Amino acid sequence: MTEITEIPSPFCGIGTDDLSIQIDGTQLTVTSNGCAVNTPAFEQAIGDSLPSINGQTATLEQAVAKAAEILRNTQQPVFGGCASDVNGMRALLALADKTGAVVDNQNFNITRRNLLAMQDSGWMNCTLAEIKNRCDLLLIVGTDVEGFAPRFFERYLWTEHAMFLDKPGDREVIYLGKAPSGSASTRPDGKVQSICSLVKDINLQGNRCSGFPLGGKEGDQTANQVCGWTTGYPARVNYARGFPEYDPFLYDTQTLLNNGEADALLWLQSFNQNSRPPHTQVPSIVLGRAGMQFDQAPAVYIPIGTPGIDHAGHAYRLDNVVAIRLKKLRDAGLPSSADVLSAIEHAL
Amino acid sequence: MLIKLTGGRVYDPASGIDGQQLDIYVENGRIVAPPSDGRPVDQEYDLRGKVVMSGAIDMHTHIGGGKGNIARTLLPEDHRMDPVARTSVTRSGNGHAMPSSFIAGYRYAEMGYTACFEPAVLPINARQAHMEMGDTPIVDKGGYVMLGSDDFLLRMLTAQKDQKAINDYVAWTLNAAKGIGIKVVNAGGINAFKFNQRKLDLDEKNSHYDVTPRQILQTLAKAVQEIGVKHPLHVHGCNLGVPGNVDTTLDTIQGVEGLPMHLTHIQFHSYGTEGDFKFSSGAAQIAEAINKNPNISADVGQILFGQTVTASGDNMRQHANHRFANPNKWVCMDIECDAGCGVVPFKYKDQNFVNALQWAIGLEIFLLVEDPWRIFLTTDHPNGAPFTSYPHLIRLLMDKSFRNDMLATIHPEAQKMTTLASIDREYTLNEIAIMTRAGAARIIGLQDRGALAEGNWADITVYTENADRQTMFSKPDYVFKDGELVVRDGEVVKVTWGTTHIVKPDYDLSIERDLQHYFDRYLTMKLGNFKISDDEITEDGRGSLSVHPLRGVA
Amino acid sequence: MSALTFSLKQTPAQRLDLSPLVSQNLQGLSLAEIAALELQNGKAKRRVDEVFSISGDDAQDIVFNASSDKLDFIGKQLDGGRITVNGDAGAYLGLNMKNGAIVVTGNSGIYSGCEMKNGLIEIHGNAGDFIGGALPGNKQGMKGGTILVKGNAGARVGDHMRRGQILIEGNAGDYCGSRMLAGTIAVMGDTGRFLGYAMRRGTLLLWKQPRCLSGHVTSSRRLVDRHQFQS
Repeated sequence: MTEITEIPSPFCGIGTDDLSIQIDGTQLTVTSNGCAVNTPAFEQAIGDSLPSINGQTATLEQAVAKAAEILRNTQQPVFGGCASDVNGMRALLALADKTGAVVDNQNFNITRRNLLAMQDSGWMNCTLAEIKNRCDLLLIVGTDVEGFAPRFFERYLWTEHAMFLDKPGDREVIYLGKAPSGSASTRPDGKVQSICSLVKDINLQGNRCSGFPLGGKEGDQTANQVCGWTTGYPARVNYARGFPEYDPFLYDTQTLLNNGEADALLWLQSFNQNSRPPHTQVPSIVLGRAGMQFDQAPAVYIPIGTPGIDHAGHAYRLDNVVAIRLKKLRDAGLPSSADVLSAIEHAL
Repeated sequence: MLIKLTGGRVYDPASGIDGQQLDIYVENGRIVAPPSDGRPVDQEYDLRGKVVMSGAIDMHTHIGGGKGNIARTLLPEDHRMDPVARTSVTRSGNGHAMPSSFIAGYRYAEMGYTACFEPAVLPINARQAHMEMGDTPIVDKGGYVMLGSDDFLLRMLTAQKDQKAINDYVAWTLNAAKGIGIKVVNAGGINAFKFNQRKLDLDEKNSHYDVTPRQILQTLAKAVQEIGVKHPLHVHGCNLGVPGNVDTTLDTIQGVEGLPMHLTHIQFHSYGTEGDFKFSSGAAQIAEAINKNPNISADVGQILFGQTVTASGDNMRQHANHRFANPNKWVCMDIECDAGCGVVPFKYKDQNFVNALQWAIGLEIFLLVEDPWRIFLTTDHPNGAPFTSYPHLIRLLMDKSFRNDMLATIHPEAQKMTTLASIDREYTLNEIAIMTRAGAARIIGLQDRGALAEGNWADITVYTENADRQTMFSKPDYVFKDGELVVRDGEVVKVTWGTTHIVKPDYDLSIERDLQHYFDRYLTMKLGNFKISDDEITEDGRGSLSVHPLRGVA
Repeated sequence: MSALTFSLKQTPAQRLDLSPLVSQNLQGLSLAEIAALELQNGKAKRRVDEVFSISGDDAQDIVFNASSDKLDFIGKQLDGGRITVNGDAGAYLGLNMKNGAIVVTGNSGIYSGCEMKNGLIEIHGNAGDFIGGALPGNKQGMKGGTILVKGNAGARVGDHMRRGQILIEGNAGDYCGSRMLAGTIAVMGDTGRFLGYAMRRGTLLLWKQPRCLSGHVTSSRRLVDRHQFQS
């Protein structure tokens, strides 16, 4: 039994990197600085970790070969989920490039309004350490910060020290709009652009002010970043023509499945056992966090390790600037998503 | 495998070879002596009538890091116009102003470039810079780590820490962020912007820290020299783009008091205030200062007409310039008590007086600086123009009549305000080889690149001689990277992965005590998680690190 | 001469890009040459005659029969001539159209008339979001011409519109006239939330009292210069 400290979390999005975790074989126990998001995500038991083909146990090689066979004969595959680390996204994009797939990360419909506002007029934003040290007035618009990231206030607002504030506890926080819970907080997309304009206007009128979009867990920003430098577009790209094309509406996984356009689904979710692929009749290849359970067995299921637990890696924080180095905490014999995706690419 | 490159005209200024016809032998990735045992070559390339140089090196190009990805995200319309399909050897992507990382690597190689250096690596964003550069194929890469607006350094200066402590911090940061040089951007200005200062002259104090840009520049230039880093302090000066900034730049040159200093994209810092439009060329004064001060080098940051996007750490100036954004959208960020960034799309127009004169000012500087070892060919990609415009820029430098034909088409008032038409100089092939190869390798501190001497890595570019230099430099016949043929007839035929060039200056470990305290109190990451480990670069099986020697170290 | 008619043999599963089939591209081509043109369909490239039965010879009068909402980019950059779509049209109908006329008897998808310069688009059914708008990232929507929608239109009618006119006989969705710079949008039915959001100039003609105006959500610099109301 060992204990590792200063562990970064890929789960909460706010770059928590002070967790202590006790490791007993493959069982992890968060011993300090856990929270309602991170503790269960780290402690989750591995569960069933054998690959399967149509619900029948298979070897990794067989599962990889079957996945390649499915993708080889497609007209429009779609790769959804996209919840992984930088190397996982790199491998996913390489496979998509070769198979002409749509790449669509799972929460893009929420991110879309931010990105469309940004692509229309830009914004002025900041990162977490700027909030921690400089923010004397925080206006929270239409979101439940604590539900999203339980330790946000403790780590970045009600801190003991702030470089440029005498009493960090005297910061003012204003909540605008009702306090909804979780990601159900829908605001009309135009509001994002209004907020961006407002922030810019304040800066033009002699004050300093920054925006800070809240969003990006389980690899959302990682997916956007890697997709950004690999394709030139942040998300929702289609490689069908042999080069990436961006369409924030047509290349939605659910739309493609509903319309009968997608003829194969690859679902990548290395963080969350409960984030299962959408129900569909098309053959599904699922690279899921080991222990994922299904109502309907996918054509191929390959249990994969979790970045920051089963292998090292990189993940982006929600502020989109800082990438954290994820550590390997245990060896449970689970392959990384990057390894599996590369194996499928080579088996095509 | 022994390769022989037979009979090309070789321009290798580092070895004093200026157009002689020579054979070059390559084995195991390096340039080797002719085999003395008479064994046959495995492959021979007949290069008679061709021009041979080492692979070109771009010493200042924004190819990696967060601001580049912001620029990409901001401009889907720019990518839609330039899709690049995959081939049997290359990945797909998108190009133009801020190409996707794979396309950047291919296009650099297809122009005969074999190394590129990202000049604005924020320490906190260094992982991203290395990851993007890690997805940039073929070319070698490296980065200059940005300091000067980070609160840790400014606190040290306010606390009047001694130079030794500063040196330790600088050396520590270079190791932690894996850089090959130190960059300073609008010294202290990015920080001052966070305190709501909207401009910061060389001797103006940061309102919180009481520190001036002059102090920061002197301290960092000294640190760079004392820790033995060969690349001089890489300086993006104060007042970028401001008419009258030529005086700031001249003061900056004097202010560094003889220490080595590289002034980057100096075109943007060479503006006077004469004439009807209160905007004039300061190129002659700048060139004179460079000519007189052998401690100073510069790259130009030439602008070329057309759509591009400017991506800079200097969010103070980028915020001021957002009113010129075209299309009208822009991003500024305050980043992590470390620095900032600003991304503003620009369309430089030849019929716009200011843009036209900027174009002429850049060319004047190229032509008036006498020593090609101290002036470098850059557009500050993508800020002055995308790097794909380099062949055009080379033609402007090498072909006076072409240059004057272009000059005759720009805004007439700008034509009146430039001495360009009276400058007869035409760069020679040898001078082009100096500024894009030998000089670049020397100023960066690359040990075994930028020259065709035996023992050097075999980064070699072969062109067909052509009076139209734009055509000649657009499409090399062959490009060898580490001895492998990667480009034939201007197209990638093999994809390899370049190395990452770094330095590892020593520092006193005690600096980590202060840093640990600072990180725990103020930053959002643990000190141990901040430092980039070697395996982060190498674990994907493609990346590698090349550590270069320091000054005065054998 | 009879209309050059493309009858869809079978509704494709994947989206089909019809941008090559515009008058200026087809003028002077034989039926065999037209049949051999390639269309992008998902990952595949298909010959025109693989997808359509082709008849007729007048490239200035193109007809798509049994059309479906998977048929994208109909009339892209059309520069004269007439296209009749019997059935539904997919996304990007008349994208960047320069001249001519397009008539759709059914519904059309998102971005109909996007960035069109001139000409007429008539949609007898409903139209999707962003009609007469700008592609993501672009700052200039429709610059001229006319779009007539007999049914309802989705959200963001005339987003970034600069010139031209859009008439909606039915209802318009949220953000109608958003970020509009000039031009005219007329809506005979109901309008949704955030009408005229970030609108700078231009005209909105409404037959019915709007539920709400969004002048209050625009920033101080994004003034709504002119609204006209008619009932």
